[in-house]
Amino acid sequence: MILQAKCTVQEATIAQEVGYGIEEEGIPYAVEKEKGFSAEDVYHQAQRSPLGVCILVEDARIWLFARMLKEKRPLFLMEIEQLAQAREMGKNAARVIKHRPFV
Amino acid sequence: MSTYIAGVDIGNATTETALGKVEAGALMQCTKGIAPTTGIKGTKENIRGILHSLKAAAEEMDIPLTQLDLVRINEATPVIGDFAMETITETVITESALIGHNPDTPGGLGLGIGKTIDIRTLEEAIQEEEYIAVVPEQVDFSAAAQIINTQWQRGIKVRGAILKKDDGVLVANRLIQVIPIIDEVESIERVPLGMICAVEVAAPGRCIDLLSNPYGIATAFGLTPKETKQIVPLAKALIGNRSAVVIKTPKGEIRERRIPAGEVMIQGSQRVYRASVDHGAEEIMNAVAKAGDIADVTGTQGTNVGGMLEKVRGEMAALTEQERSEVRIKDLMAVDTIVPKEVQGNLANEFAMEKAVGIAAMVKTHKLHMERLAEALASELKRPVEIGGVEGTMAVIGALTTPGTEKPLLVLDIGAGSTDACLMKEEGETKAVHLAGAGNMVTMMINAELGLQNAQLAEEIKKFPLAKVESLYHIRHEDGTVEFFQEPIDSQYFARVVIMKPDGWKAVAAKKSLEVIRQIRREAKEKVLIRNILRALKRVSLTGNLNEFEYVVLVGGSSLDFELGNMVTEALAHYGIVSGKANVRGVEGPRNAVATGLLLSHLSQHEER
Repeated sequence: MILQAKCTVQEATIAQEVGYGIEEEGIPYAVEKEKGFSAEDVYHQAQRSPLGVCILVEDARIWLFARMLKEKRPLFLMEIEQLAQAREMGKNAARVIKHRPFV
Repeated sequence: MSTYIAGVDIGNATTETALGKVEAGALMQCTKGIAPTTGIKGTKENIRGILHSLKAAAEEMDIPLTQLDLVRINEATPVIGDFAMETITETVITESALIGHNPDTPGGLGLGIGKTIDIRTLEEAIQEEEYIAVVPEQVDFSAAAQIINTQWQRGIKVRGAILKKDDGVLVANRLIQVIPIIDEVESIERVPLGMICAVEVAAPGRCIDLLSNPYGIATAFGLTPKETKQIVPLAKALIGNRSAVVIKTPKGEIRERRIPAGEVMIQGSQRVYRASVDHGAEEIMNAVAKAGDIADVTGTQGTNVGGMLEKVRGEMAALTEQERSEVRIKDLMAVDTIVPKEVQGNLANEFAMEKAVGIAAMVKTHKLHMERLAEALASELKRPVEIGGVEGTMAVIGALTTPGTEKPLLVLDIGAGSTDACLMKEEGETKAVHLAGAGNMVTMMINAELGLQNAQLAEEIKKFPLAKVESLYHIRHEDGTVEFFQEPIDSQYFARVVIMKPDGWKAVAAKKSLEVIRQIRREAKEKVLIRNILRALKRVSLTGNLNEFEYVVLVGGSSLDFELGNMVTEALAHYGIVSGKANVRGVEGPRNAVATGLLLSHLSQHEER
């Protein structure tokens, strides 16, 4: 699941790129937009999500939460400089589920 | 009054000390020291390592170095080993003819055959032809999908696609029909355009069916029986892939080439035995066995094997300050192996499994310059230094302090460069043999068979057990046990095979499963070490029958290997031999045998007097 915090154009572009990364790895996903999503929300979403992974895009920052991490800290936290990095994050999100080494 | 005697064993890798406090000819107390050997064994550079090792032992005994009454160093066996690997087959693709490729995530499904065409020129395509679209980096996945969809509507038959980027699934998901799509083709610019090409992608969990079958390729390209014969190595290289591309160019050819790998000439006691490296290890080992006592070994000039044998000779000559022509290679060990080699003329770093032979050689010369070393050490320490007995004999004396051993005892010392065996009979008479092939050769085999190109990593794979990181909280060890952690595991190890080093984990970069790596590791040890142990036993045996031995102990660094001890016990139990790692003085384990032997032999000499 991909969430966008501020629903800006930049976030939408990054979220889409993350989505392409997940798609290339063959994993289904959903995008949700709602102003004011916080890291805490994403953590709870990850717990509820059927595949146990949730991503938050906040400006150019990506938070990747996985259910199996009990503490409230992300598996990846990354400042995006190039769109290719967002694609990689998407692949990594899918690989958590597929149990494949990260990019 | 008590005297202090130190035995110092300078090995290839470590310098070990056994320091004894002797009162009235009896050993009262014994301490040990260990330090890395500095410089090449037998040279003056060793002194620093010796001092470190001596100091460690003296500190434990709580005496200054000046209180030492005698230092005994070993008469090093002047043995040096080297190894090389010789590939004897090579797959060559000329004119970028036919390639195989196995990306992680190909797109679509099925088999597509057509002429290769740049996707940007697809508008010029004609309806009568069938095409495979070649998509360079500049065209992104949505554009590529759009172009193909549009051209389909125009009636152009696009039967498959080849992509440079990892976008196969993305393109496939945006197409209105299902076609096979291969991605991650590194050198897409080398894909020839306007040539007949076949692309095959199998369903997840399945392997390609048509392009890994020579007749399948023949069907796709309409090959003649003669041409079909030529493409067998290609079909072989594609077996087990989920996807593949094969392109046929008019002049293209692919073949398995046998490289002339040279011959080894083994000078036996009676005559010269020749063995061709191309024919594999068995022929070489048969020749070695037939030759008996080997006088010297040479290789065909201008080949790898010839070069390697000359290199060993040169190194030994330089070390011992002898003429090259005086250095003799006394043993050879050859092992067959299969190594992944990059296919010549590949498009995406494809590998083919090639046959290879690993060869280790061992050189014996006159005494190393231990006298010179002893003199230098004496002037440095200002204490008397003497050269004790022969390394093998000392090792047996040391190993005999292992509880549960008795003469006749065979001691095996598996080092880095050579495997040494020494038999002590009941009367105290000894017989020693030195064989080529030991720890370093195992490392080389692991390195080559896994295609690591990283000797350090191979060494670690050899030494430590493996585990698979199964989640962010648990790992599965190679024996199947699961270990959980409170803190999440570093994400760099996630889903990887890791080496359980004592000072932390290390991820193995090879795309091989834990089972495969483990099997390669154990096979390498079996092929080199276990076979060499059996060879050593046969050589020292009087009758050639291994049942004559009763007790065999392992000493030296390689016997610290976590699984070798058990592998040896298993292999030798078959012959009714009690074997295992030594436990020198009941406390040291397989280490310190030679140093202890040097100390004890001094005591027994005194008794005799």
